[in-house]
Amino acid sequence: MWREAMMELLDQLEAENPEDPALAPKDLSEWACIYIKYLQIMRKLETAYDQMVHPQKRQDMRKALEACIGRMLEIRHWMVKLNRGLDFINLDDILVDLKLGPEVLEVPVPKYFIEDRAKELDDRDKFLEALIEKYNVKGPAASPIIRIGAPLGEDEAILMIQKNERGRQARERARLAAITKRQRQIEDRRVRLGVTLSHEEAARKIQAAIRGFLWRRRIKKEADKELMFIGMKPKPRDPKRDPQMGEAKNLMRRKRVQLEHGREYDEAIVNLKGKVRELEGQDMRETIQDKVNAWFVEKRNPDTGEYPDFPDPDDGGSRAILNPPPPSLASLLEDAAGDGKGKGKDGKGDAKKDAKKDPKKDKKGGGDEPQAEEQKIGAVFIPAIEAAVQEFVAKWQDRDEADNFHQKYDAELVKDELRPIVFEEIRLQVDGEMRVLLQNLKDLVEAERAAKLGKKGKKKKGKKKEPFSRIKKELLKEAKTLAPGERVLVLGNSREPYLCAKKDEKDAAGDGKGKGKDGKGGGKPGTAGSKPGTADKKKKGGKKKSLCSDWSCGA
Amino acid sequence: MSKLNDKHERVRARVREAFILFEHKEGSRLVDFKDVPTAVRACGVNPTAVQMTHILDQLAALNAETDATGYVGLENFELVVCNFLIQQEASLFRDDYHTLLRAFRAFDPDGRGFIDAESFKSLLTGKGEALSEDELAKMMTVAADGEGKIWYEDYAQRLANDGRTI
Repeated sequence: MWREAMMELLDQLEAENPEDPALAPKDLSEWACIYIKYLQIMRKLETAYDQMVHPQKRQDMRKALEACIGRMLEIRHWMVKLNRGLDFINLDDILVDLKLGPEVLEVPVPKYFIEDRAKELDDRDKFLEALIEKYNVKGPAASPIIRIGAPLGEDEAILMIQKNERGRQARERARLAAITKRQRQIEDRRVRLGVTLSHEEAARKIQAAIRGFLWRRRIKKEADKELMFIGMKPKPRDPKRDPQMGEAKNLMRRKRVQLEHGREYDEAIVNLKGKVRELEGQDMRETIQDKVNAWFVEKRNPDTGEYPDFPDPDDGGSRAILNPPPPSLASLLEDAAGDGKGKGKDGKGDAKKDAKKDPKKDKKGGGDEPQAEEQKIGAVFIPAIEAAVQEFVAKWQDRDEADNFHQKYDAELVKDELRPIVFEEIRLQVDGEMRVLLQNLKDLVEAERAAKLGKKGKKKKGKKKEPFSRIKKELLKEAKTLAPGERVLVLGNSREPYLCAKKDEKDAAGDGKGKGKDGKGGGKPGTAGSKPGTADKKKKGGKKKSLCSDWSCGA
Repeated sequence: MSKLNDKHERVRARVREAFILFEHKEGSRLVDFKDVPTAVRACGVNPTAVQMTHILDQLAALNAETDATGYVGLENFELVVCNFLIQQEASLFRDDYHTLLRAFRAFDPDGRGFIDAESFKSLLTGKGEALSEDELAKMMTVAADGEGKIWYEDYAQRLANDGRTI
């Protein structure tokens, strides 16, 4: 029934929004036709919903039913408009055309209106009763007749009652007397006629009477049978096999099962949620973490190495990361034109987004056309109907339920439904963690940068590496040229080691500045000095070398 | 005039019918004195005890002229009762349902719709034209339910409609 209704709904949607705009319904009669169709579909859905036992199917059906009702009202409203604002619409001709009875136009009140509010209504009744009790409101007068006229005086009343009662008793006696008298008369007549019966005769009479009775009874039975056979008389109802009773019982039973399954389903949601979290939560967590990490890396400023700010929880936290929003046109162009950096990811995103967008676009395209055509008629419920139909097609249509005779809930479907919820929960958790992580990373970067500032100094010093190596080379060269007994005195300061050397060439023997440093820079020069350590003779005058190498303190 | 005669005829027929019903012996045209009140009431009227005594007195006076003892002849009965019914027509007018209800409500001040049978019995035997034990028992079989309550609406209906054809 559901299947039927859904298929009809689909047909209806198509019929209502045909490809060719010329075929679209325009005048009142066509809309009336559509209205009646919707009404029929709604009735079917309602019955199906009322009796469906499967808890998840019920949920989806409810959506479809509500959408259908909404659409029906929309059309009805539109019809009234087309009918120049008259609320009564003459549908007789259409009914004749469709070969339908007038009962089709009866709008059924969905039973779930009452069922879903049963508790509420019950409470209200109880509340009213309590109020009546509390304020001692009297029920309606038992009988207005009693109130007419004041009661009589006691004596008068007694007298009247006695009088009437006496009369009644007398008349009763008269009736009895009349009966007995008549009987007596009959007997008398018989006696007068002198008919005395012998035992034989009496027995024969009784036999005859009984035979007559039996045969009359049998003939009546036969006649009834005959009439039943030719269909002139309804068959006697067997209360046990009465289909109506059976149906009623069935309905009741189904309601009960419905309730049970609903409860089971609710429990299952809680249980399965835990299960899903347990079994699949870890995977989800890892996926999310991976993605977020990838995002970190990708979005890291390649120049500075700075990490991006984590999205606000108000903006959905990492949702934007996991489901990247479609890049704007500008960025797409940029991408196309720009270098291949981050292309891998963007390409993926594009593919995903395209896949997602296409059906949406199709759907929207389908919905937009008729909307534009109808213009005035609202189509608020069409998307809902479409969604319901699509869900039906996706979820239920091709489902093999041979093994689900009892129509219990489907655990896999529940899991499917729960997955996004659990995912979201885990995502929030991960978000929190990642936020902390990111903070740490940022701190680290900050620290690194601070360190780098220091390194910059080092780099400057790195430039000095050159002079240093030069010094070293030169030193070694010099050392080779040194005569035994000659000593090298390394002088200079950290600022101008090179200049120092140059000055040195210009004979900077008197460079007092360098002298103080001598002891300090003695590590390396010491070794340098040790080589010529055997030479006692000090090179004086023009050949005195003054070098500086404070590199040892550079690190 | 013919109309009046017509009416008289009907009353006479009715009285005769009632009389014959209570003949002490088939075709004797005599009714026992103690059956006279019943016969009169069987005509569909509810006379008071006073009125009944009056009738009985008249019959006794007439009877004294004849030789019959303890029985009333048809002619005398017809004469007296027909006169009574026609002359007292106004006072014999039957109480209707609502009047009866008002009478019962005198004993049901709270308007509960019923009267307790026991207390009502003592009233009926102690006041007005007291009912005999026999009459009381018969009344209670009709009026009271199994729990000793008289639901007087039903009962009044019954009293009002009983044999109402005059």
